[in-house]
Amino acid sequence: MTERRPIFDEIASVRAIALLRILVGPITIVHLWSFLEAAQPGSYFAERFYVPFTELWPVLPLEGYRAVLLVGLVAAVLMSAGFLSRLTSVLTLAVVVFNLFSNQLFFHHNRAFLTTILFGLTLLPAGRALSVDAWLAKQAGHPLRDEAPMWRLVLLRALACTPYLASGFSKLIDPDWWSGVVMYDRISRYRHVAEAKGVPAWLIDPIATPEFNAVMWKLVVLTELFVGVGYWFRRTRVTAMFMALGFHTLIEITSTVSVFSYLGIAATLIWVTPRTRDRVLWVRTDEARGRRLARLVRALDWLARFDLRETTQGPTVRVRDRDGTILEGAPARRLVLSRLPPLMPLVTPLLLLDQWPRRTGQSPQSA
Amino acid sequence: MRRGPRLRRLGAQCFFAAVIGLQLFFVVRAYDDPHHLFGYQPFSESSTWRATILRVTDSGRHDIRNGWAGYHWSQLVRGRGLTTPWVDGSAASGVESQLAFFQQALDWVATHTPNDHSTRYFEAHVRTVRNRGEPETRVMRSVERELPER
Repeated sequence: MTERRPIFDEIASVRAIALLRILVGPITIVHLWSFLEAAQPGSYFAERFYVPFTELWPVLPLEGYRAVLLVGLVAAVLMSAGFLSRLTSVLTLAVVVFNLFSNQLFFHHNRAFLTTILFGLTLLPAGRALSVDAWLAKQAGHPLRDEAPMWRLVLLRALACTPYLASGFSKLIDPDWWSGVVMYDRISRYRHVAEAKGVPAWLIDPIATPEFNAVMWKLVVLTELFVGVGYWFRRTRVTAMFMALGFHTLIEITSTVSVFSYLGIAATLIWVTPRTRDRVLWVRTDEARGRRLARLVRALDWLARFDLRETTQGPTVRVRDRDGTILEGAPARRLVLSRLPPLMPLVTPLLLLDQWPRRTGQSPQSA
Repeated sequence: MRRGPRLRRLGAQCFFAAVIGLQLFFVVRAYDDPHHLFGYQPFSESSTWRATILRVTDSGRHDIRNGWAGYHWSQLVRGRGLTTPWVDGSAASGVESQLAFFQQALDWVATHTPNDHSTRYFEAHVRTVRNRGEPETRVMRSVERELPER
């Protein structure tokens, strides 16, 4: 059993954060692009009513403002690619913050969340994996170590769970929210919009009732709170991730939240166990099924969960999990596929089939 | 532990505590802030609001809906549900947030319409409905305008 050390002494892999960096780039581009489109002669925010956070905040002429947004867009592209990652992450954050603080009318919680995630990306050396920087360093013979102090990851985790906890708690103590009145009212008033989009009445009618909303939105509030707490514990983390995926999908369908849903789903990567290659996967490459699985793992193991070893003896697939458990056959395949990010949402529920006691043993090499 | 690493560790601990403290401060402060800035309280209400805006001049009160002195409210104020206040609109971020921005918009319009030589101040008759509750009405006023000598 590994000894637990204080977070200020521990080292964490930033591999998952590197993948988050790649995803946050396009999300930031979508965010900044909407401002660039709106910044036209005659419709520039500073030419009309706006509310600066502070009078000291500089208000640029239109061309200057557009130039700053363009710098942010280019920085976001480079950040996503992982070129000069630290610099481009800081630059992207600086532009997003500059824009956000230019006008209080720009403030939305999803933009605050984007700022938080970008702050985390500047805090962690997210360019040390899955990046142009890492590739260049490897070519130069000085491969980068994709590691960072654990406390920085814990800090990002604390900030990333705040929206769920703060939002959930505020709604829990608000009688109108907890009773379902807020959402019942909203659904009742906007049902004509759903009808105009072709949603059938038999679907809308039961949803637009006080009884449905009294139950439904209690579940949503409890989901938010569960996600905020559940992420922190190993036993509930995967469930929290799935509930977060469901929560963000529901929000995206029912509300206009800009980039929040995509960001919330991408941010589940923050909660991936920050260790790489700590599961050993033996695959028989003299068999077609084994070769197919090996190819799949090489292509999709973006989080470097597996130390892939090719073999010509033993079962087609064999996995040694973190705790030393040995899995073979279908359970081993399910575990492998469930840890490949694109397949994770589809395959992870199948792991419930493997919840009964696992067989433990030793690796094929030592057996 | 040598002095360098110890200082680095202490610095990290202070930074960690400062950031968490700042986030907690915003979360708590949001309960006393109409806009819930950085406090993560989205979709806090399903409230609605509407306002009739009048120019108050020496000759009486005039609805601004169709413009005045070459100005149109909808060209001066855009976004956050403030563009056409005379139409029932959502105050999903809360009545307090909506009215705080609306008050600032009234003041801004009063101080950014130099071609208007007759309006003394703007007056708004506001009707709000908070989460299906009873309608409430209130009168809001902009800052007094300084009119040129005639």
